[in-house]
Order: sequence, then C-alpha cells, then structure tokens
Amino acid sequence: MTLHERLLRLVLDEHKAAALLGDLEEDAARAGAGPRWVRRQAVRCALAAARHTIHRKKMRMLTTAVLALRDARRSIWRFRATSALAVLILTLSLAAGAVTFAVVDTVVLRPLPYPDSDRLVSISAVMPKEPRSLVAVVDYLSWRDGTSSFDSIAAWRMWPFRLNGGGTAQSVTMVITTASLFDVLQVKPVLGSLFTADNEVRGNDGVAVISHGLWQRRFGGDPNVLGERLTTPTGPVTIVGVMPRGFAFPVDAMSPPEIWRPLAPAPAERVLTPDGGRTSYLSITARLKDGVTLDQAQADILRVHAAFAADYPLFYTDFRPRAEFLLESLVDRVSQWMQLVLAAVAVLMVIACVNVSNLLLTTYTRRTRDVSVRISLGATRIQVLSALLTESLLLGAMATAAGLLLARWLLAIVTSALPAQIVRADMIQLDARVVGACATAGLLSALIAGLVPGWHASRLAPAQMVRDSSGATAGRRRWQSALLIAQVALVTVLIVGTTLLVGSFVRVVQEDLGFVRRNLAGVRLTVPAANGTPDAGRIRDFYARVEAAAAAVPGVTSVAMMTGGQLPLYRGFMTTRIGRAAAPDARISADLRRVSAGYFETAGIRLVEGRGLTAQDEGRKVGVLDTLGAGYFFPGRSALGERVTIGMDEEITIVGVAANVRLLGPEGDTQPQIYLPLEPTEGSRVLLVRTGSSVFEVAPSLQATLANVLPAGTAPARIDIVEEQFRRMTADRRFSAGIMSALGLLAFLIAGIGIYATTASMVAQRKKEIGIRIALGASPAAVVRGVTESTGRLLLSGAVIGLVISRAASGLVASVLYGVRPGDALPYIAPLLIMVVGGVIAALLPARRAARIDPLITLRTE
Amino acid sequence: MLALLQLKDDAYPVAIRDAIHERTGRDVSRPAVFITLERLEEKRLVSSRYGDPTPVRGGRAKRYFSPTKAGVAAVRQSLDSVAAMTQGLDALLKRS
Repeated sequence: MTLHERLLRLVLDEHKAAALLGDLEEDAARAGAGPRWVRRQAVRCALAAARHTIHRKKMRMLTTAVLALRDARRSIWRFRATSALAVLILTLSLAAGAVTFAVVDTVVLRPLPYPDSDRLVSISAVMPKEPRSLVAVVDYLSWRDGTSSFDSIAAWRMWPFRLNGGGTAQSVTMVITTASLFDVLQVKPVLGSLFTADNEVRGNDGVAVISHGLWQRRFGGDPNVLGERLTTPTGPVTIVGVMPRGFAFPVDAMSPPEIWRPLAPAPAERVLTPDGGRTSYLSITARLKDGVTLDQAQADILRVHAAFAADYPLFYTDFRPRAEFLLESLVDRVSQWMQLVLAAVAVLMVIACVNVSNLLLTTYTRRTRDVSVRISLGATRIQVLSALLTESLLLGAMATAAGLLLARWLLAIVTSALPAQIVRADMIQLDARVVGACATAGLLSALIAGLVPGWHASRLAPAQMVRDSSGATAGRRRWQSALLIAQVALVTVLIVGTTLLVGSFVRVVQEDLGFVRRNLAGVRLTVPAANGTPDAGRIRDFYARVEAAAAAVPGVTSVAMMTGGQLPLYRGFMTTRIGRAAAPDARISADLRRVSAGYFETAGIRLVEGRGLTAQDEGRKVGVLDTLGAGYFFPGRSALGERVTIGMDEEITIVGVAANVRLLGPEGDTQPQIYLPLEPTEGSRVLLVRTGSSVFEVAPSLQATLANVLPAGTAPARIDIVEEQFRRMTADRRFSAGIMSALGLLAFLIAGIGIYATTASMVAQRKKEIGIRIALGASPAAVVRGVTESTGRLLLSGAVIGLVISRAASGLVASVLYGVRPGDALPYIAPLLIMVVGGVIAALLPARRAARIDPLITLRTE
Repeated sequence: MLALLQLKDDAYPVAIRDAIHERTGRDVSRPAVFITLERLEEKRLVSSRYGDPTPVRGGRAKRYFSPTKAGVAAVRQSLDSVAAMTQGLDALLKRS
C-alpha cells in the first residue's frame, strides 16, 4: 500500500477510501495527469476528512456534556432540599479548608522574602533546657572568625520602643545589628548608604538605616532625609540610608522593624571575663556559601565551638551551637499546631464527603426508577455512573464557588485574630494557589462523595431496581449504616482532638509560673548619658528619683529594680556558672540577676526559706538561690547558710530560697536562678511595678510620672505589662484552641445533619414495616424507641471506633501539646457522650415522624 | 443535492463535480465534494452504495449517492423557501 493510500485508510474506512481513490484515478486518466497529481489530491482529501472527523467528535462530546449537565441540573432541582444540604456541608468544609490552607501556606510553606532565602540559616545555642537560646558576643565572634561555611554571618537583637515625634508616638522595633546583616540578606538601600563594620565601635555607632515606611510616614518621602536625627533608647542616631519598600527583618518582630543601627558591643563583652558571666542577647543569621550543605555548616561551627570551648571548659559544658534553616527556626513552633489544624481540616473534609455521600444515597430511594428506565433503554453502567458523578461534580462546583466567597469573608476575621508573633500573618490572602487548591479539593470531594452512591446505583439490574423502587435493599441500608458509622467515628476523633487541645491550653494558662503575673509591669530604663559615662552617685540618684516617683503613683503598691535580664517572659538573660563552695568543680549553668530590696514581694515570688534581699545587703556576699538550684546542690537539707561559688571565684552565702520562676513561660523549662544584691554602678535596669488595682488603669499615670523624671529629649519609657506579655506568649495556643473548637463544632453540626438525614431516609424506607407494626398494636413510644435504638447502636459503634482511633493517635498529639497525658480519660468520655446524646437528639425528629405514620395510608400506597 | 437529482442513478463524485461545472461554470474542489457528501450522509439526507470495479479506476468500485426521502423533502423545502423569498422580486432581479 502506498503512503497516500495508507493516509486515507487512517481517516476513512476501506471501501470509502477505495472509492475515493477510484474517483481520483478516473479524474487523472481524463485529464492526463500523473500519479503525483493523484497523490497530492489524496493527501488533501485525507486532511479534509481528518478535520471533519475531529470537528464531529468535539461536537459530540460537547453535546454529551451539555446534556449531562442539563440532566444533573434537573436532578439537583428535583432533590433540591437534599442538594442544598449537600452544597451547604461541602461549602462549610471547603471554606474551613481554604482559610486554613491560606494561613499555613503563607506562614509555613512559602519561602522568605529575601534573595536565595533557602541559603539563610539561623544559629542558636542549644542548652539543656532550651532548644533555641540566644548567644553572647564572644560566641558570635568566635563563630564569625573561625568558620568557613558562610558567605557572611550577622548578629542582631531587637529593641522595641515608642518612637516620638511626627504627631503621635508609635511602637516600632529597632534592630541593633552588625553591618554584615545586609550582606546576609543581600539587600541594598534605595537612598543613601548602609552602615559598615567601622560603625561597630562605641562612639561611632550613632547612625541608622530606616525603613521605607518610616521614611514615607515620618518624613513624607523627603529625599533630603539623610542626616536627619532620631531619638532612640540607646541614644540619638543620624539617618544614613533608606531601605527598599517591603524590606523587613526580622519578620517575627512584634511591632514593625523600622530602624537598623550598628551593634557596638562594649570591649568587655568581646572577651570572656574571669567571673564567667556572659550576657546572651544576640540572634545569629548567616548565609551559606554555595555548595555548602546545612550539615557541613553544622559540623564546621561545632568544630570551631569545640576549639573555643576547650579553652574555657568551665563555661561551656552544656552549651552547643545549632544551625538550622531560617524559615524552619521561625515557624517550627507554629508549624506543629498548624499541621494539627490542617490535619483536623482534612478530617473535616472527609467527614463532609462521607456525609454528602450518605445524603446522595438517601435520594436513591426515589431515584431508582429513573435509573432502571435508563438501564432498560440500553444505558451502560459507565453512562449511569457518569451521569450521577456529573451531578455530584456540579454540586461540588457550586460548593466551591460558595466556599470561596465564605472563605474570603472568614479570612478577614481569622487574620485579624491571628497572634501577632506569627510571621507573615499580614500577607495571608486568597490567592491563585489557595483558589486552585480549594477548587481541586471541592471537585475531588464531590467526586469521592458521588462514587459510592453512583457505583451502588449503576451495578443494580433493571428488574431488581424496578422491584426495589418501592422499598429499600439491604445493600443500600448497609451502605448507609457503614457511612454513618464512619462519619461518627471521624467526628469523634476530631472532638477528642479538640478536647485535648483546649485542655492543653487551659493547663498552659493555669500553670504556676513561680510569680504572680497579674497587675505587674516592667519598665526598661537606662541612665541618660548626657555628659560622658555617669558615675555611681548619679546612677544612684537617678534611680532613687525614679523609684520614689513610681512608688508615689496612685495604685502602685510596691516597686523594685533588677538587672541581668528582664522579668519575666522576655528573651535575654545573664548566664553564669554556680557550684557548691565545698566542691567547686561540679558546676551548673544558672541565670544570674541582681535585684533591689523588695524584689520578691513586688514580683510575687514565693520565698520558701529564709529571707529576700534588703537594702542592707548591698555590697555583701549574700544571695538567694531558687528551689531548683537548692535541690540540686543541697538535696534533702536546708540551703540556708550554705556557700556557693559564682563564676570563677566569687563566693556567697545563701540567705534565702525562692520558688523557681518559669522565665520562658509555662512551656519552657528553666535553669536554676540565683539572685544577688544590686550593684550601685549598674546603669541599665528594669523597674518593676506592682499595682493594687488593674495595671492597665495605672499605666497611663505611671507613664506620665516617668516622663517628668526622665530628662527632656530621651525616648519615652515603654511600660511592659506582664499579663499582656503572657497573653502574647500563649496567643498561638489560644488561637489554635479557638480554631480547633470551631472545627469540632462544625464537624458536630455536619454530623448532626447527616444523622438526621440518614435516620429520616431509613425511616422512609421502613415505612411499610413500621405501618404493619402500628397496625398490629405497637404504641408510638415503642416506635420512637425502636428507631432511636437502632440509630443509637450505629452511633455507639461509630463513637467507639473513633475512640479507638483517637487513643492510637494520641501518642502523636501528646508530643505537640503541652501537658497532655495520653492516659487521661476525660478527653475520651466527653466526646463519646456528646456524640451519642447529640446523635440521638438528631434521630428523634424522624423517629417521632415514624410514630405518626398512619398504617392504613401506608399499606394502601404500598 | 440538485446535482444528485439531475444525475439520477449515475451520481458519483466525479460525475457530480462535472455536473456542477457544466451547469454553473464553478469548479468545486474534490475534497469539498467528498466532505459535503459525507456530511449529507451523516445527516441522512443521502445514502450511498458501491458499484462494480472498473479498469479505468485502477480496478476500484464507484460510490454512488442518491437522495433519501428526507433529502428530497429538504430540497423541496429549500426551493420553496427560495421561491417564497424571491416572490415579487422578478422585476428588481431582472434589472440588476
């Protein structure tokens, strides 16, 4: 066969192709044309035939689709109540899914907004009780100078304060950083220049780079902003540059980072002092060199650290640096509970699928006749199945559209309620990714929901269906029961999860932190350095004035001072090493803070033994140890009068034992704490204020009083309210507990609808049987009991299966949740009761309807 | 369709093309004739049958087409429509 013959045979049947070739041969013979002409004409005809065939197939598919959609629309209208319920259920679950996905996608899954952000790492210190601890200047310097895995490595700290001027004061975050940060982030200013390593020296550090937002707001985008001055708590700075629009670092600051100024550590901080104290307040961010893996960088930094630590064995026994990807370090904590919520949403979607599936199955009692007619007229099983699936796909499409609209509205509520420390929360939106994911989920759920009913309907023989149209097959009832049990089991799992999460949140909030956090505030203060370094006398005078002024504010019951970290629930503290004087080699790390008289009373820290520190203790070698340290060094006996070594050789006598304070909040363990008398030369302190009435009411007058004491031109004092700090610290727990409760409630509602619809359908199928029973003398109460009992049995089986699954999965959840003990019974009993009682109530309505069945009417229609 | 009616039992693509050319002077392409006949057959306005093979056609059979009842009715309806639409236009059409 020649090539053109073969081509024609591809698009035409054998006879048509032969006849066409015959025509062409005849034409050629008449016109005296050669075989080439015949070939050309044959190819043209083949192409025309192919175009025609394609067009015909397309039209046929389009027609089929239009017809299927029309049928689906009719069917949806016919069963409009059930369809509306199915769309409602899918809409709710899809909206919940879209909102959760939008949040998790933006916060956890997306890369950070810096060039090659997957090369950015965060380096922190792993302490025995804290996985991500801040580091000291000496550590940073040793890592910076010793490692070779990084293009650049930066150290920085945040300093939130209220920026005055330009109208109203505004909360901003100042970032005090090494100049290398800009290399790490690969960012250049839009105006002026960045500061350099030369600025990292005291006296040379009065410069700053400001954010694009601050430039616009405060200076109206004035190009002559360079050289302007700003007042910050660490002294005035001159603006040298403006960062590009949208630049923000760090992304997890409470208030927006707007000012970056050089980190200029004191010379004493650059070396390890003999007393062994080092203040840890720095975060480290670095950029990996090309081709270097995280593991190699980790090995590199461990090697450098080991060499450095070998020179100071006393300080570094339980301290190890750890490198991890920056994004991971930012979202590690939230990603855990977000994944839990995402899993809950997935379960909710499965519940919705099962529910819709069951709802569709209930309509089949009334729909078997159409299907049987179709099958009798020659429709294939696939055709019946695809018609039913088209219907559920149409339901899915409607639900997706409605779900996205609802999600848009919900997202506005959720993002405004999101805890402030969640990174990138302001960037959450319904974008193409979310819409795509939601549409896929919607159509997929609809398809899955339609599969069981569709498959069930398509496999019946027509004769069976016609016979069946008046009653129920045992097969369908089995399916309905199985779906109901599955649904109840899943809802139970979700309610158990919710109970565990909410319980865990309640435990977190109620945890004893070792101090009284209500009506307590802290104010960070620095002696104004107007004329050189202030002497001890000036410092003493300044703080005496501050203390007296604060104590005189109405509502304030006591005040105290402290240094070496801020109380409580802040990052940053001073670490030292302490040991028993009798056995100086067995030392452990401890938090050291120096406190004034009245500190324990003001902070509400319980004294277990002995006394607190008084004004007379100033300059004396005495201290107060906490219960953790006392239990470690002096187990089973009183620590009072015992001597401990601090740092290299400072020996003090214990005069009191205080309760251990959970500095890192309820979920963080702490190292032992030791309190020493305040040193009069300490220029930076925290003023601690306890109020008798609500601290929120006292704060404004305290603010005003302090403004009078502080010299003009200094930044206003920022009052940190401890209760607020605590709320912020536990905000993500509160949020996740809230979300889980909403999901649990939603699942329960969906299940309620499902139980109601299924029971109603089962009652409808058993009409004849119930009618006969009533005719034989069964009382209405007995009928109600019979229906609720059979539903109750299904509910109980589902709930028990759900509990078994929850029990098996609780081990996984316990690792994420605070204070969850897998053995607790309450989180399991409550959902069981809720499910069974709620379910029986949902089943009561159809049951009562069953009791009112008139046997005569029923039997006559049957 | 009109060519088919004119040709009676001898309507096969070559003859149909010739008839159109003879009566209207229009040269219709071979693929156009073929596809048009295919579509008319799909719409059941014409039917086709195969004749005996002839040597001049390389030993291949002719495919003869004839109008179905529906086809004849459709032609009639079209002509009626044309007649109805052209009624009263004789003078005008003659002038132009």
